[in-house]
Amino acid sequence: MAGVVIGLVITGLATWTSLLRSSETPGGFVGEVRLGPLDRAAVYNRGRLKSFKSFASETVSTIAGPRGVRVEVDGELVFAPADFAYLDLMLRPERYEDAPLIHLGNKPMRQQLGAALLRDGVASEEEIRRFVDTGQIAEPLLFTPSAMQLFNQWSSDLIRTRKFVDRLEGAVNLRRPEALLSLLRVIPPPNHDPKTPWLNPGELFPVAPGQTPTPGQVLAMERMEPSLREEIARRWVAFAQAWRAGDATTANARLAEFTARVREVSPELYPSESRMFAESLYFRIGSLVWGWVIYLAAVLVLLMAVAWRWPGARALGIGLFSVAFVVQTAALLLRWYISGRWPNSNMFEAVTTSVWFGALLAIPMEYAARKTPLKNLFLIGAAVASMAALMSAQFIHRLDPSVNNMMPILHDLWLYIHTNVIIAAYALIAMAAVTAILYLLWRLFGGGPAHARLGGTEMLIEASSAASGRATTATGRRLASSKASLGEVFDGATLVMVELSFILLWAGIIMGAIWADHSWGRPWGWDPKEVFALNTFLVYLVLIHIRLKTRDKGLWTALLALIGCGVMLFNWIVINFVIAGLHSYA
Amino acid sequence: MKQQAASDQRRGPIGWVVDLFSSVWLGISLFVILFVYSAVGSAGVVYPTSLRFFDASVWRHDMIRQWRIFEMTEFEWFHTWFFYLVCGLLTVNIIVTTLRRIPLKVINLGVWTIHTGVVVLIVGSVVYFARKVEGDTPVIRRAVHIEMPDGGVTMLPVVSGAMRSVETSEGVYRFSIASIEPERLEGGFGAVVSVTRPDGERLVQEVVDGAGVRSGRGLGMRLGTVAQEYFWVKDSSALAVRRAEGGRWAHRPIRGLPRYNDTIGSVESVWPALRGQPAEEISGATGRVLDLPVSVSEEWDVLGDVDVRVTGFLRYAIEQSRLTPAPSGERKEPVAVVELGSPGRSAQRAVVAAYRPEQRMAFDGMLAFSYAESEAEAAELLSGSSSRLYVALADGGVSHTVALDDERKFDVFIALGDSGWEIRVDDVIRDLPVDPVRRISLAMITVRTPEGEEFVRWVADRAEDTRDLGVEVGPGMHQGDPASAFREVDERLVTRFSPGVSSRIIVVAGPGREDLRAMVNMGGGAREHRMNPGESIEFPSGATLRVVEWSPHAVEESRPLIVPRNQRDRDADTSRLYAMVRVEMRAGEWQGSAWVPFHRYSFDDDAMATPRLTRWEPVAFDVPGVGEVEVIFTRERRPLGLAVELDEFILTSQFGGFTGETASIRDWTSVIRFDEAAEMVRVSTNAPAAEGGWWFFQAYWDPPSEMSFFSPVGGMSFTGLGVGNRDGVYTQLAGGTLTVLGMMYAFYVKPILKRRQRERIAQDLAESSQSGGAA
Repeated sequence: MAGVVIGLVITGLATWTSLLRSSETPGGFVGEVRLGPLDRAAVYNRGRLKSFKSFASETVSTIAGPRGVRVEVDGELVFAPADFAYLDLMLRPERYEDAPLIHLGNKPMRQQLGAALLRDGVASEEEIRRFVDTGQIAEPLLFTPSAMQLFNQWSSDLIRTRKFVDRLEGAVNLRRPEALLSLLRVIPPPNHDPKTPWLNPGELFPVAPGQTPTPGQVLAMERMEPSLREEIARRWVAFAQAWRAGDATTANARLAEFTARVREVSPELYPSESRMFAESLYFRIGSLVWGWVIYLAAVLVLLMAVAWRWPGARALGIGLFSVAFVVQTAALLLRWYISGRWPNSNMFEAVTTSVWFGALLAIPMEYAARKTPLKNLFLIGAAVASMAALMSAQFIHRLDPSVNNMMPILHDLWLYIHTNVIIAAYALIAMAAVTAILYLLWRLFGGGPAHARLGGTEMLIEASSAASGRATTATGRRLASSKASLGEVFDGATLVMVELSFILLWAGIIMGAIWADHSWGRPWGWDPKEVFALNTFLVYLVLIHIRLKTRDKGLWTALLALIGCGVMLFNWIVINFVIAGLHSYA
Repeated sequence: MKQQAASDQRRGPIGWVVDLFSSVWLGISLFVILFVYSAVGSAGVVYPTSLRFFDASVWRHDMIRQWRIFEMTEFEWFHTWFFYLVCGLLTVNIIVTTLRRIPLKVINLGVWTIHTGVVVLIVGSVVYFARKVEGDTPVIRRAVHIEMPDGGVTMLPVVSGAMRSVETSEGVYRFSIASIEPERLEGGFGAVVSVTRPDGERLVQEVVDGAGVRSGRGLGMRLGTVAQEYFWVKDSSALAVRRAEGGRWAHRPIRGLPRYNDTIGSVESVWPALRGQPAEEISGATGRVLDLPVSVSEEWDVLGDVDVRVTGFLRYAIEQSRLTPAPSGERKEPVAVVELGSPGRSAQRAVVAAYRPEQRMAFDGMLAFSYAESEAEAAELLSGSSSRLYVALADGGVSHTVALDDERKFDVFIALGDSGWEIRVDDVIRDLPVDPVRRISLAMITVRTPEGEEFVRWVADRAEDTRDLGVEVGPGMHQGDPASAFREVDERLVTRFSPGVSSRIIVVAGPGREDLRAMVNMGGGAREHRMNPGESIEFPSGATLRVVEWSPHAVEESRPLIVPRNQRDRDADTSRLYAMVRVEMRAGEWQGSAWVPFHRYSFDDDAMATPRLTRWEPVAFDVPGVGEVEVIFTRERRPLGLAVELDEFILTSQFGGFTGETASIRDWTSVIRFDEAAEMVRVSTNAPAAEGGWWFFQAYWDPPSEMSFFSPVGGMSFTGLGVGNRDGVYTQLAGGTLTVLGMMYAFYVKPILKRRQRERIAQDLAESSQSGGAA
């Protein structure tokens, strides 16, 4: 109980600081404008309705990179919230003309470009140093002759550098105010047709003479009630003018009115306020991936419980774990609610959902082991796996948390079955590697060649029966009397997880074949992702069979569980990002 | 120990083999071999090229299966004799071990089920992979069935870019698809056909699903479906041959053709490496002998016993023609050989051609070569940079040069004297990439003829690429799908577009043979030099420039150019879009050879071969005793044994409709029917249809060329269906299910059974000791 309370306190602190950080508003105009109404406004983008907040952070990070745009407040540069940055880039573009804004993701390319600009003498050493560091560069520097020459050279290398040049070009085009305005599709179609794209505020205005109207303009003119159209348009202009003039009070008022009226164009197409708010909140609280901090605390405390058999540590550990699991579950449910589908279709979702399965499975295993020496280990395994995955989700930008539509091929019942079984198996593989590492550490610090004589599940059953005095073997009696060595316990815990993941992985592979049979026309195509799932299984096959033959079963098990985890991670990281096959979307 | 050896001897070699195959160690070793084999085949290897292990640049990643000695696709790597051998040994190992080592008892049911399941799975897989055939086929949605005035009937597929010429007693009729409206009239399908009559009159006719039309002067048109009876086998290679007049292709499979590594006999048969391209990308391919006889496999093959061989392979190359100066020629084609020397480095030499955009510049754009028709033009060219459009009437009446650097001058009609012709510049597009090495620049202009007709002309920097497009084609016509709107270039109006140069050295030749000048700006202002062929001029930096020779005429030679690895498009590479083979033929004394490019499909009807479906560049051979034949490099074609027709193609979109972005697509559905059956079958992603022993899958589609007012325009005119068989798949499934059930039993039922057994024993013991005590 005390554990839960302490856990809750830590979580509260973490949430509070995270909210504080994201809403930490600098002074000046940035601090005075209130973009709150936009949290509930929807933007149509790439076949989805997104909250303005999440749309703005995706767009701004495409232009300026993950760190976002810096604005000057009282002579100091501070990072502006993405929604502010979006509107300011659109409405006051001149302020960013010479500011380091466009992001180049590749560091060696930054160095090369920096050196060229320095040679030409168009930028100061300080500017170049900051560019190489942050990746953000002022747009005019991209149009200098030496930069252009470099882009030409980079463009011809389709394999290594072309995509970065394309991204730079994309960023330069995207930051133009016209592009930002045309993307800002916040007005539902007045024809009340869910299959019609939404309109941007610019489309509410009559066409300039001699120009062809866009489909949106035609719709606005023909299908929208003129008074409503004019009212919304007028509010938009007033908002834009106030923003340009730096008049926060007027801008706030007009924006609030604008967002309220926009909904009236097609109220039945407008998403619920709560969904939009949930989406804004989800991104504001950083997708809750910082839950790893609580898992970290749980791991430290539970390790103490294992090492010193200290009951207080176990209680606190369980409490922290529970709180972390609740946070993790909340993140999953929130994501499910805002995307309208179970989160398992991109890399970010696969990684976070995988470890959630791990944590979920750890709970019944821990319950079964509560009276045995195996206790705490399943929680430690799950906590370490979750911690590692959530940390990657927070710090590795390749894991993009934005919510997007699934590819058509993923719309299948078997996607849910196959993917979830496989990622649950992957989580167990990672958890087994944790106890395998504990075993190896134990051996390193003088433990003898101990191993679980009865295998995994059987050991668990026997140990828990022995705890209630119904031991049927000598091993059981030893386990009950706490005379079992840590090595034996670690090996047993590893085996429990290996056995379950062995079945899940194999069943998942078979289910994948069933899906592939009806979606790609062949159950098995020797695609790298398939081959490495099979390879992970082969490592486990060796593990299971080698236990029949070797003397030092514990050591072999630990080593192979570690290798299996390595192959699994290789499949997930290297195969996905480097040797992408058909499975590249998951 | 001795005893053991003695017993081994007694049992002899058979006993030894049986022991070997009942060893768990053998199984483990086979698992490890399988692991290494599949890891290496699937992900390749990473190895250092020198001993500086900590330097990231010495590490290389290679796909072993793509090495010259292997040349295997993923599928082939997992179907080698070695892989079969390992799987076979494993099967024997499992069977022998299970029978000899694992007693069939309730407690062992799990492992027995697993091992049985594995054997069943392997048997199913042998059947499956041995009989597996996989491929794809395009099914076109509609064709216009045209009834000619003389009663003849012809067919024009409704696909962007489709064209057909029909010869009649009146002369030649030309038909082409001007536009496609896939969603006209509530899901109906419509097309606009452009017809050029023998007398030169053009007319456009709209045809809509379900309604035949009869246009003036006896042309009848209606839309009908097109039956597809073939599919093309995945990853296969074949040569297809037929008579030059057209007709059915006869396919000859090519066995043993490389896939990943260029193979050419002599370096002379391709162009040298491009600048910046590692020389080994070309030299590594030379001196390799490829000699694959390609023999007849279909009885209608016209080449009969002509000796046909494939003697070279290029994975990614384009045929390019290059020029060298010639003393005279029919056509003006100014060419110069230039040489740039710099102190301490060997001189670089290049051939530049004034009228060829891709060959006009040299030394990374540092030098540009132009040719002047007049002194005035020469002066202007030497001043550099400006892009210009030259317009003249073919009858010599008027000529006009428009400077294109100032966009404010666009959008206004300019009259060409009193001729009645007017032009308006709409846009200038520079360096538009059209293939891996070629870029074109265009001036887009609208032309008004004295007759009051208006059309659009794209004036390309390379004269051959200039195109005229109709703007008044008819209802529903738009400019978004240009391929379908091209028409014959109006030769009364001569146009030339020069996109301008910003090179540091501008060499201008002409108008006279002895006029050769260079404007050089190597810092410190531009300076004009008079030059003589063969003589160098020197710059302050010590660099020298020499025009070795130049001529207003040139000879042209065509060879493949191997595209540098890092400039290859990945999709084009996998689909073999730029692959070609060297074909050699011998008949008696006669011998012919040519590079033949890859064609995704071999259509018997040329009108089907539109750019969206396949490249179409058959190579002609004039074979003595046979006549002129056409050859293409393609895939093996197999009959489906049934006819597939596409009734409708449905694009389902996400919320907000289809916007052209992939993210807005929810699904694709082909509504097809087999063998003219009344019943329609729907094939969509994850929902295949079965017929005639094949499964048909939604594989690819024909995206609209643009969106107009929320509905697609162009495209949606065919579907790509995957075709495959799946014999043995249920055996595989049964095996897989058995293994899963077995594992559950072994891991979760067996421990409970064992525990019960021990409890029973303990109880028995307790009872017997109790009863013993009582006694």
